[in-house]
Amino acid sequence: MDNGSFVKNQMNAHGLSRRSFLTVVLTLPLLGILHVTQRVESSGRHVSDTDDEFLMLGGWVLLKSDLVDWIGDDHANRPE
Amino acid sequence: MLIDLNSTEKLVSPLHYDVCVCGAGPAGISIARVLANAGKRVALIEGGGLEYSEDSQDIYRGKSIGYQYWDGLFTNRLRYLGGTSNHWGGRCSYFDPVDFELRSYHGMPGWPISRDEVMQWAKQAQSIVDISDQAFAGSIPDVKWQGPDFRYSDVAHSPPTRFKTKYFRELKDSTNIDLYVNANLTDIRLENSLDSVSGIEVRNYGSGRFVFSARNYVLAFGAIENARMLLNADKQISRGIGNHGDMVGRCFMEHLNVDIGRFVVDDMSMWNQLRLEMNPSAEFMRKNNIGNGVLAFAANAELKTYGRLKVLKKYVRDTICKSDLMTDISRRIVDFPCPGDGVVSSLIEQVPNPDSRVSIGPERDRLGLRRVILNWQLNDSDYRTIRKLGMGVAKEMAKTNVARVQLNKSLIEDTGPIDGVHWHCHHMGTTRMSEDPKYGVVDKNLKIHGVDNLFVVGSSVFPTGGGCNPTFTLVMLALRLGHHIAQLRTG
Repeated sequence: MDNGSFVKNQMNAHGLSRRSFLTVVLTLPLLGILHVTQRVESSGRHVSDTDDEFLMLGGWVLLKSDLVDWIGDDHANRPE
Repeated sequence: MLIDLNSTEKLVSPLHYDVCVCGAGPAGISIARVLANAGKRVALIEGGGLEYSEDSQDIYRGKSIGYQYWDGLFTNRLRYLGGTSNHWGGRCSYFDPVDFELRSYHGMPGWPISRDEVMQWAKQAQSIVDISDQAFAGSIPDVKWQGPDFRYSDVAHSPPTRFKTKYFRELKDSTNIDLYVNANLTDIRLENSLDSVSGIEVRNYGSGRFVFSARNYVLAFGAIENARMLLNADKQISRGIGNHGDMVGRCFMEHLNVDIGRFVVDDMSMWNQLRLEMNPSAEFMRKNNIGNGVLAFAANAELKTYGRLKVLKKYVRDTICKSDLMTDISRRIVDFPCPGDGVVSSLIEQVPNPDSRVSIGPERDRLGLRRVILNWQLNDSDYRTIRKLGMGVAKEMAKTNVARVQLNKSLIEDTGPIDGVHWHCHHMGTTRMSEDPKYGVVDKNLKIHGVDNLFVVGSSVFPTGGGCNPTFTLVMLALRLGHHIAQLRTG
C-alpha cells in the first residue's frame, strides 16, 4: 500500500473528505502555537516581585537567586 | 449492663439515674466512664445499635444549602455505638497557646478557659486514645530545618482507637453504667420554670417510648446533632432550648482541606518515608491577623503504580517523569506523581462565622424530629488565612532550601474565593462556649446558659477551631466535664 492509499483509506475509515482531512492536519500545528503562546502569556502575567528576596514565576515561589541557579539545569523548564 | 430498647418494650419508666449521657461516641463514653468511676449511676443512651444499620444512619440525612458539602452530613458521621470513632483516622494534636488568646481575627470572644485547664487532662486522654507520653515528641522529624515563621506540628497517631471495640465490654459489665442502644432521644422536657430539665423522652425504632430522669443531663451527639436536638426541643420554648441568644447552630466550622499546590525537591534523601507537617508560628499569625493551620508536605520517593498493567504504566510514567516538559503536558490531561515532587495539603482553621450555621427544616425523620439543614459558609477571613499560609510556607521552604512550591492559581490572586476547598469531617462550634450568652450557648463549665442541669460536650463547644484535629481535645473536655459534674452538689 503506498502513502496515497493509506491516507485515502484513513479518510474513508473516518468519513472525512480530502478537504476536511487537510483542514485538520493544518490546524493542529496552529493550535500548538496558540497553546504555547498562551502559556508564555500566562507565565508573564504571574511574574511579579513578592518582596526583595522572592519572586513568583508561573505560580512558583522562588528565591531570586534560583533564576541564576536553575538556568541550564534540568529544572529550567519547571517554572514555565 | 446492656439494654437494647428494640427488644425491651416493657421497661417501667421513668427510669432514674444520677446522670443521663446522650450519645455513645468518644465524648459520651469518656464522660460516662469518669462518672461511673466516681460512683454515679449513669444511663448511656445511644441512638444506634451495636453495629451500623440503615435505620439509624438514615436519621443523619439532611440538606446542605451553603458551600458544597456533597453528602457529608450523611457520610462524615456514624450513628452506632462508638460513633464516628468507628471510622476515625486517629490523628491527635492539641490547640496552641495562641489559640487561647483573645484576637481580633476571630471577631468574637474566644476560649473562656485557659489552655492549662484543658491540657491538665492530656495524660488521661492519651491513655484513652492509646498514645504514649513520647508520642508527640516522636512527631518531630530528624531534619535539620527550622524556619522563622513555621514550626513542626506536634502530632501523635492513635492506632486509631475504636471506642466500641475498646470499651464495649467495660460498659456492658459496669455496675454503674446502663448502656441503652437503639435508644433515640426525641425530647427534652423542662420544669415549668424553664430553668432545669425534668426528664427526657427516648424512643426505640418501634412504638416504644420511655422517660428517663436524672439530676444532670449531657448531650454528646456531635456538633451537628447537638444543635439539631436543642433546636428540635421546641415544645416549651419555641426557638429551642438554650437558643434565647439565637446562637444554637451558628458558627459551624470545619477545617479547610485545600490543595495548596505542588512542590519539588532536589535532595530526596531527607524525604524518604517523611511527611513534613508544619503550623505557623504565633508571631506569624498575629502579624498577618490570620487563623491557624497545618501545611503538610509528602514527597514521592519513588514512582508507584498499581493494577494489572502496572509494569507498562510504570514504564510510561518513568519516561514522562524524566522530561519536565512532557510531565507538564501530560499533567494537563491526567495528574500523577513523579519522584521528587508532591502536593502540599492542608488543614486550615475557619473563623467563627454566625452565618455559617446548622438549622432545622420542615422535613421530619422517622422519629418525628425535623431534619438538619447545613448552611456552611466560607468568608474573606478564611480565604485570607489560606492565602497567607500558602504564600508563607512557600517562602519558608525556598528560604530554607528544602523545596520549591508552586501555588495553585486561585491562591495567587490577591482576593476572591479559592477553588477546591474541601473539608476534614471536623464539625465544630455550633454550641460554642462563652461566658457571655450573646456569643455562645454553653458557659465555661459546658452548662447551657439559663438551664441548671443540662450540659453539652464535644467539638460543638469549641469557640475556635485551631490548627489541630478535634478528637483529642474533645476527649480532654469530656474528662473535664465528667469530673466537674461528679463534684457538683447535685451530681
